[in-house]
Amino acid sequence: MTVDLCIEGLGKTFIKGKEAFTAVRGVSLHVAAGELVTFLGPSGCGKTTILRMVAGFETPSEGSITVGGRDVTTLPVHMRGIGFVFQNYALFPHMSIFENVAYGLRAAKTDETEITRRVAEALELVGLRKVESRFPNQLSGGEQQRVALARVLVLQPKLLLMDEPLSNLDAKLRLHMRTEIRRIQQHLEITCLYVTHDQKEALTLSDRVMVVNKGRVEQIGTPFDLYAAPKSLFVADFIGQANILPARIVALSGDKAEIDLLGKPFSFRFVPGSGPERAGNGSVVLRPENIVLTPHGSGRLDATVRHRFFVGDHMEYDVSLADGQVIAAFVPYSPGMALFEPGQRVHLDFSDNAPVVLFQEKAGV
Amino acid sequence: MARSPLAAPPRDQGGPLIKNPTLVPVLTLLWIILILFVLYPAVKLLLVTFSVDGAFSLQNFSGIWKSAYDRQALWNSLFLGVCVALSGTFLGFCFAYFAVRMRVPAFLKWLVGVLTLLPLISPPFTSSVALTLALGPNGIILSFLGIPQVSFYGFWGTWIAETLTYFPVAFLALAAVLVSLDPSMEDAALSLGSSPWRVFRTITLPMTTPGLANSLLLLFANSLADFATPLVLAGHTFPVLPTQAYLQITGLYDLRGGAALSFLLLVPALAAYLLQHYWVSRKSYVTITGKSGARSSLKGMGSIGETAVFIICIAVSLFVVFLYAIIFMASFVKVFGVNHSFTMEHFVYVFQYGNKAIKDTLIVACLATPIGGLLAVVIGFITHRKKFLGNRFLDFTCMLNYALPGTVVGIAYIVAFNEKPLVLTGTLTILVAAYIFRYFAAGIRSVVASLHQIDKNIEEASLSLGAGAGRTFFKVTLPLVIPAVLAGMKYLFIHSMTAISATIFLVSVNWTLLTTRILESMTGLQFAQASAFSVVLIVLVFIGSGSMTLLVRFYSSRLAGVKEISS
Repeated sequence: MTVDLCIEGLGKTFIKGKEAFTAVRGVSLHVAAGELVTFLGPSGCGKTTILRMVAGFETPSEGSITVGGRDVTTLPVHMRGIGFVFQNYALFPHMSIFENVAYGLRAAKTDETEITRRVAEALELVGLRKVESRFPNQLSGGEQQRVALARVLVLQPKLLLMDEPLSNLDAKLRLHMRTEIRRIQQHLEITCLYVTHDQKEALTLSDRVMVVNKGRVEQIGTPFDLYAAPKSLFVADFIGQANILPARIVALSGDKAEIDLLGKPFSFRFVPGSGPERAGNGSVVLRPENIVLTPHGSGRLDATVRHRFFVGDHMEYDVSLADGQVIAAFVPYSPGMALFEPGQRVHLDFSDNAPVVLFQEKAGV
Repeated sequence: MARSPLAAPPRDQGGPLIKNPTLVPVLTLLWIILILFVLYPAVKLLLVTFSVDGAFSLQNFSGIWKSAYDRQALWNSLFLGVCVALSGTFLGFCFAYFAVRMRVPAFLKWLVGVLTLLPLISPPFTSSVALTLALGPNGIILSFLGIPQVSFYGFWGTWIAETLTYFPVAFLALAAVLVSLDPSMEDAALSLGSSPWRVFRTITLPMTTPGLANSLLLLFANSLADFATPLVLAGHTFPVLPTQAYLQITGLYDLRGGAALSFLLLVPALAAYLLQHYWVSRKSYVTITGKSGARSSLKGMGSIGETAVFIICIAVSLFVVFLYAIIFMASFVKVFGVNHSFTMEHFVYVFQYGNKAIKDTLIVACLATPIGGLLAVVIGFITHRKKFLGNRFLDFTCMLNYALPGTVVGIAYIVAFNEKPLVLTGTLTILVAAYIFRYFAAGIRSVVASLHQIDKNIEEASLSLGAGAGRTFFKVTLPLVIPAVLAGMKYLFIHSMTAISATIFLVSVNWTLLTTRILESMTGLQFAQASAFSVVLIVLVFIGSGSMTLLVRFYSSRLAGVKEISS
């Protein structure tokens, strides 16, 4: 039932007027059977185009797509047996919910009793009841979303493709649907590709995340990998928040890099593959939530508080370092705790494993 | 569009006239001319139709019911309307599908687009003249195919000519619908395993149903009101209402009988208009899902269907080209179909004997266009931005002459202005007024549409900076709606040059029109002169509407530049 998916050197060039625009280039990915992989990236990065090529809505300019060992690169959409959930749900407005869900079954010439049974099952699966005779515009956004899901699940697709399916829902509902989708996907063991620009969604939902930028793959890895060992400054910055400090890499020893940061020597772990592994200019990624501020004592770096923002669950401090560059530090907030004032001298502390060295220089500094 | 009174903010209910004293004289003037040129003729027509010697009576209709010929005209009109609506919508849909959905070279789409525009800017006789030369007695197609004599006059000729004349209307309406159809619907259907043809059948077609209904009603109304085509092609075997009403009045001098006939025409025409305007136009699947998904590549309906559409579109396009070529050629040769040696004598004739008609036509169009444009701005602004009691009635009044068949309007005008207190028949005023109040509705519509897109805050900003209502209108609102006004004026200009159904009753020795000269040439079997007149008219319309299109582009691009700077 479940199948794996293999994408090899996929590329897409659109020709608009006389100008060629390369939306996607050199994308390769293997998705194991039953795995959920999200494509994450800023809008316009090409992630949706990749998904639409897997679906068959767009024809790749180069590369191949293999589903369960079968090359489907040029197979028409309606013969691929995929399920596609659209951002705007794309429910047929002129058909009842029952007819919407039954649409694919009718295309496959399923007999009527079977259709009735399977539509009911699919609606049950997504937690909808007594909506069969209603029309899409009579349902709420969340309900429409469930119908869209039921409409593809009823066909028991080998491959489930979702294009920002939750972006039209409000925040609370989004959280709920996120777990629903994951539950159903794991229950049915469907191989699934999921496009989103919401990093939280990507991290909580996926087995693996593929970060896409400007039509290229930046990194493919588990949510932990991306957070702890980003292979590029783009990924470091895009997943969570990151302070990126320029540093000089003096030497490598084992899995540690000896560096010079603001005139002080440090030894931090480095990310293999983030660039040519040798001494030279690089960057240190230090996440704001890993920084501890102390009023006095033995901090690793000295700083001065510039601004203070209260965000609710934590305090955000903008602090300036010795060379003047400003970085962010997040401190969990509980009522009654002492706060730092702008202008106050503080010390920054962090655990040895928190910062990570990348063999990439920050551009445009 | 006027908002419903419930939706209007309560503060506007107070006293808008007290708040905007400058509008009082404007509004008063507007109502005076609208009552004079729209409501008064309409009421007068009803009075003449339903009264005999000052008392209510249905006597005028008894003559029609007794005459089998007139009864036949009613059924013929309705039958023809249904046929034209069906065939025109079918062709329009094929062309729209071709232009919007099919993977064909861009120049082919452009060419087809231009060809579908031709009938829209041509005088109403063009296709009739050309069809007569092609398919009529001794027509070149018939002689080429060796078919001796087919009765082309009557239903078949009228049907073909009206279909070719009006399918572009369906094309424009349906192309707009197809373009705005959410492509993810079809993507979804395909991904659920439907074949392209099934997607077309179960998704594309059902979702364009409101658009198709709209097109059917539009074409039905157009065919019902068409006067020129049946006058030339229907002949005695196939009487229809507009021509019967015309003959009743000009041939038998029976104004009351003609008025009664035109009333029969008015009922289905108004019904079709109201249905289209207030019911179908609200039922639309187009924007139901709000945020649309990714841009999608073109989806077809499967190779068999697409081949059929392709063949139909190319064949019809070639036929249209062929018809225009015939007109063009017939105006430059001695006797078309007999002696094909080049001559300019028909154009010499046109400029010698038709000089006055050319001049009069241009004067009428050049007066009607700017006045109609100005009225369109003022009325569009008032009905859209200011909340007055009677706004909806104002809107309805402005649409009335547009919704009524031209023949009805023409008859209403002679009924109203042929006797005291206001004798205007035979004057320039009545011709200009007839065109303005019949065709300025399009201008109002486009002004209102563009006002919808201008944020009210912009005007409020001007007011808050100390500019009065008048200054705000002239300095802020007007410059922003100019492209829309020009588009409306272009429509008015084209129809002032080419429309005949209303003004055929209003021309005189003093003021005559090119279209009536074409008609005279046709009835006098002077096909060459008719062709030459047509060519001159087409060229004039082309120059006029072309320069207005350039003006629209100029202003639009300037506005686009402004928007870029401000964002």
